Amino acid sequence: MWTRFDWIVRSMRANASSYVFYGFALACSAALYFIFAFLQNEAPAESAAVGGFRSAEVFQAAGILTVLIGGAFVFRANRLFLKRRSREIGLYQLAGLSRLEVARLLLAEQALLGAAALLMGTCAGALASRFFWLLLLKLIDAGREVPLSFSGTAALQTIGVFAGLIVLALVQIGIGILRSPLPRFEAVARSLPAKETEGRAALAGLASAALIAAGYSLADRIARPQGLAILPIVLGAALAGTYLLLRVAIGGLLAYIRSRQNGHLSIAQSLSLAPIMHRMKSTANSLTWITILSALMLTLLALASSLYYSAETESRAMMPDDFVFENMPHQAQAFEARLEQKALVFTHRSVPALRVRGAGDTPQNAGSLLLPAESLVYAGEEAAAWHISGADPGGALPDLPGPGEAFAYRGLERQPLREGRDAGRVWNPLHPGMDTEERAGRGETGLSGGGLRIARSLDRYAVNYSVRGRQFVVRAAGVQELRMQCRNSALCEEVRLDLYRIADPNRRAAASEAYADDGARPGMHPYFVFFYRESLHKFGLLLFIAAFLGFVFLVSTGSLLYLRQMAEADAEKPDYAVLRRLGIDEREMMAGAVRKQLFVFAVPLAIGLLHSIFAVRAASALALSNLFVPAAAALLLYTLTYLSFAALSVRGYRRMIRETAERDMV
Amino acid sequence: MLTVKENVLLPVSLGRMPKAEAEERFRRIAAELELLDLAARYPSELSGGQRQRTSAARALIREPSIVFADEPTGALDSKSASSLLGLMERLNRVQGVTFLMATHDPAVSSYCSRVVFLRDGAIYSEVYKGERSRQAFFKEILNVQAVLGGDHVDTL
Repeated sequence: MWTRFDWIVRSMRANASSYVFYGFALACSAALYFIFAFLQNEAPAESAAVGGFRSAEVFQAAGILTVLIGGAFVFRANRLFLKRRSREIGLYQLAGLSRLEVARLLLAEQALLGAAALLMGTCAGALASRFFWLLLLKLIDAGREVPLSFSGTAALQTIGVFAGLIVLALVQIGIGILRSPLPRFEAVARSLPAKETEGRAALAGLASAALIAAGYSLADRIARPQGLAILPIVLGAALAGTYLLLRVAIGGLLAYIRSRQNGHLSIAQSLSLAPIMHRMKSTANSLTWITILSALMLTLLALASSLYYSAETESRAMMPDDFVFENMPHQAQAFEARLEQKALVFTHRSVPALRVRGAGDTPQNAGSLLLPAESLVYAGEEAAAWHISGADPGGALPDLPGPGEAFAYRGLERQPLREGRDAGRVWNPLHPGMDTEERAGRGETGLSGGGLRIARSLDRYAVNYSVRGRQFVVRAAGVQELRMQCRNSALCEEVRLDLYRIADPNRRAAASEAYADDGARPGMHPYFVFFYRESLHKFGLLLFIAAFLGFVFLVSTGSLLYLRQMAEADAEKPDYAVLRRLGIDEREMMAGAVRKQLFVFAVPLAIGLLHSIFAVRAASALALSNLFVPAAAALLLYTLTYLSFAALSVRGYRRMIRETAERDMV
Repeated sequence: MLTVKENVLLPVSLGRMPKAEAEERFRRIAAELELLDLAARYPSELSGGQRQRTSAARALIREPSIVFADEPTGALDSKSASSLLGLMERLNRVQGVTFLMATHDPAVSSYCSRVVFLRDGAIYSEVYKGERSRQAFFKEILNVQAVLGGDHVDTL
């Protein structure tokens, strides 16, 4: 007498190969999620700010992405699972079990599998997160000791989220079994190709083009403030558009081509067109998800690699000077002496700046920092160091603002789309809340007239970001005028800045030692090398995560497509046997099989690439540097991975075709 | 996954037959085997007999010089069976196509010009139709089969 448990174990053993695959994938995504949840909870607050987001948020987003990918995988895998075992389910019913009992049996199996995978995933995640934790600490702040403990929060979070996922999967399977029709023993699939009329297909094509175009144009807004709120809309539009395109429009196109043939299909067509149309519905489902998710992945990867490779440029945009002393002339002199001692070549600018707290300034913001342009200008060889960053890629010297004009250096507030709007506005540092266009209309510029005209708005800093205040570069005369205006009032504050740049980039580290020699004191500003290294490490980690996620995702979608193709090849075996008997040789059959693989892999590749190009374009607003090279590299990798999986499945088809030949000879 | 028409025309796509001629042949054979109304149907929409008629049409469309058939009327009702056999007989008479088929049915074998009886894998006897009518030939086949002892007899 067999117990129920015996049955379960036996049936699991019989399905071992697919269970191992499924369980492994589930465990992997649980482990990945654990790592991200762990980093999200434990990441030190100082490791903040990756492209404007806090690192905890980045890790949270990565975690959510993992769950989405894992969930999509579980859902697809369960559909395949139900299809594959429909025969077995039928047999159980024929053997006298009720549907409910069958459901109980399979659900117990799934629950056991899910629990095992979750346990394994959490353990693997706990082990791996240790490694990631050390890596993170090493990259962000090597010196600090932070005790590592098993993160209960992360474990609970992982178990909670994935238990939810497994329960959803169980519900899906339960419903699937209860709804499954009575056993089908015919090898022939019952489904018929969807019959799309040409009108409907054309309409759907237009609708999908409109949806996708809407998604693309909205995508540009994500980079703007509060833009993340429209992310679901963009994703939804892209999803719906892609699905319509794949399911109805391409399906309709294929049906049209087929009906034009009026029954006279070539061998290649009957081996590619017909089976593709036959499975259009399920193919469209999976291709849609794969397309959208790979576009997301590619964008993330391109963004991360851009951030990493532009770390120096971005750091320069944040910190144009290597060292800054604010109101510390004596320390500056001492530092200078140490630099000379070390025989370092450097430039020094002493800048008499003015910090103004206008009537509209809140206690939270630091007011405006007015910098005299003349003392910031570098001439001759020194000039080469001036515009490294993206604002003027030509390396041209910025011309001085005219009298009554100001250049606004907006730095991190960068809102590329507003650049044009700010330029030409009139602004008065004493009344920053009242910058009205009316004054400009009356032509009243200059401080005595009412304000400075913003001649240019730049998304970088004029002096290091750590110097408080919104930065404006004004003619020295303008600064002087303002200084006179607010003399003896509490509104203005003199700021003496000593700016240092080291000529030889390789000796910056040595100079940093001279800077740190003095020990940390309140009021000391961070220095370039430190900031640059930190951001390099930070973005390096981000790139690592993105590359890791992206690779896992690429390989899993590629293998999902491959497994699907192999399952289809199995189902098509009898057809190939018939063709063989009709005297069709391997070469002709392979032509059809290759065409089918091309379609199955190239269509998601092409649409995914298109999506990614637009997504990267939208994302490039978040990065200062050009995304082209990293994006092109990521797209190339994506293409190559898919092509190799396509080659694998072509090989699988060839093997299957040869098998049919051998079987016939017996 | 192919419609009846696509299935039947499949072997044609191998050669270089002009489309018009292929279409013409399809019409002729499909009319003969009553497949015209089913031309746009998929295999899952067909009965067993309809499938068998489709595969027969597929075998005949290239007008081969010899056809090997294993129980060609196995899943057919008597009406479809006699129309298929009639077609085969006509093809044999008019175009000289040779049919070699295995069957358990004396009525089916009465359409042939020569019948070889097999017993346990060895040839037991053979009869020729000659100038006789099909009815007379059928009787003789039955007689031989009665002597053979029924059960384990194959006629060829």
